Amino acid sequence: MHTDLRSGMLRNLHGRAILHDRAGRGGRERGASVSLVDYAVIGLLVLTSTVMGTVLILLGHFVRPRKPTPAKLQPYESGVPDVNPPRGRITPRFYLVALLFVVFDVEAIFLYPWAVAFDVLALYGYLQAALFVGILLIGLLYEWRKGALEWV
Amino acid sequence: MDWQRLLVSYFVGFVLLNVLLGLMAYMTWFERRVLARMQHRVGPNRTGPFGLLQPIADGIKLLAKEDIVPANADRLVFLVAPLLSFALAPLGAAVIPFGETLHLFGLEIPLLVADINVAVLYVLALGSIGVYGIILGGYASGNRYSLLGALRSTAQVISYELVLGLSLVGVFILAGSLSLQDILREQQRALVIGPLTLPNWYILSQPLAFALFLIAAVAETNRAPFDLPEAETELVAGYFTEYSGFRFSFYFLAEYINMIVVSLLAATLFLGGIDGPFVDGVWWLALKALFFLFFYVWLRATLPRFRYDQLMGLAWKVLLPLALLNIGLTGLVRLWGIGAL
Repeated sequence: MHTDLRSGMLRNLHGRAILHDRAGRGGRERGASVSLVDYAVIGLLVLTSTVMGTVLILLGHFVRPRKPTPAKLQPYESGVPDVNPPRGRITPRFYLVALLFVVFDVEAIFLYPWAVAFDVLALYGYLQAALFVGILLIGLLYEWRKGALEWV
Repeated sequence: MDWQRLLVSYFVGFVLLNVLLGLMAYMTWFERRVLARMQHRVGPNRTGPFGLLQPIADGIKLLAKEDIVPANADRLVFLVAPLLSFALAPLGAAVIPFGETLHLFGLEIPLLVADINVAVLYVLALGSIGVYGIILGGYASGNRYSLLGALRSTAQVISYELVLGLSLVGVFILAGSLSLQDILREQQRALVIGPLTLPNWYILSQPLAFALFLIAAVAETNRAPFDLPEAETELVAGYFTEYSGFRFSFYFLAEYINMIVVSLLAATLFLGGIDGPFVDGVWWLALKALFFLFFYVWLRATLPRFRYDQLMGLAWKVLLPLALLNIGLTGLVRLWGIGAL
């Protein structure tokens, strides 16, 4: 697959224009309008829900009591005085999970555009994706055998 | 920029935001009533007819409770984190189509707030950002249980998010698009198998993906049997142990809104969303989403909680390979279907 520089149109291996191929299959418009309005609306909604939450908290300020005592402000520990530092050591397994996640999440993100252009890329694209997933799968099997997936 | 469209869409979005908050309140009522029936109890029935005023009473009570900030908490982060969870939760619904375009007062009112062409990716991204509310809140509390709950939650959510994301690749292959509008349109075509004519809903052509999506969605929303982050028998209440009053309820709100959004998404992706005869699409969507919400409650009443190693093992050793298998098989069938094999 390559981009024809003169027409700026995406073409597949056989030189067929992708847009033409798409229209031929479903006969419908795809991604006809990529408009900033939709993203602007989402931006406004983020602001709105944040403001709504803040207003709710501020509203409660007038009705709720506020009587802090030293005992009340202790971290909860079933009534036992807390001796260990609360943010102490944590198991490195979480770190391992995070590493694995990054590898496979990137894989998922690479597979999305491939899935959307699946019909155009056809067999060649499928084999490429299979190679890509296959390499990562070998990695997963290696981690499995090394015990990185065991949570004991 | 098209100001009129912006205003109309924003108005629809604003209404949707408020409807979601109302629905969420009644989701708590629904859950308590159904759960009670399943356990041979009656459930809340004193506040108003059938206990219908119970969510309002709960809301007022939470609003009037003291907002405690523990002495060794990271104050600013502690105060902001629940707001982050709450503010992001309802936004996923903005890309879900609720029906055909309405014509009112000479205006075109789309029953879809934001028609973006990467809708599904956007919803998944919101889910990822939602984790910040949990981990920041758990870290800032200065409590061991909170920190452990937050870390568990993060590891669980990111593992299952992977399954969630990969289970949908099969749907994208069939629909050829990440836009929920396109995915819906594709599902409105007829699927003819021999003498049968069925709707082309993806639950029929992607049953494995549907099962994976459902399991991962329950884990992603931290609900039973995957409610490890707040496992009360080991972690008191997990990441919101130190929260009280309305800040606590923000996490609660976020969890229930997430459930509603995920149910709407599942209905749209796999059950044809607004597709259905006789009545308007929005009722069909509501019915399908209600089924998933009932399913959530049903699961909670039926299954005990997973052990943490079982939970992580399930995601990485069972669901992830199955999701990849589903992609491979769907790809093969599609290749055969378009005559490229």
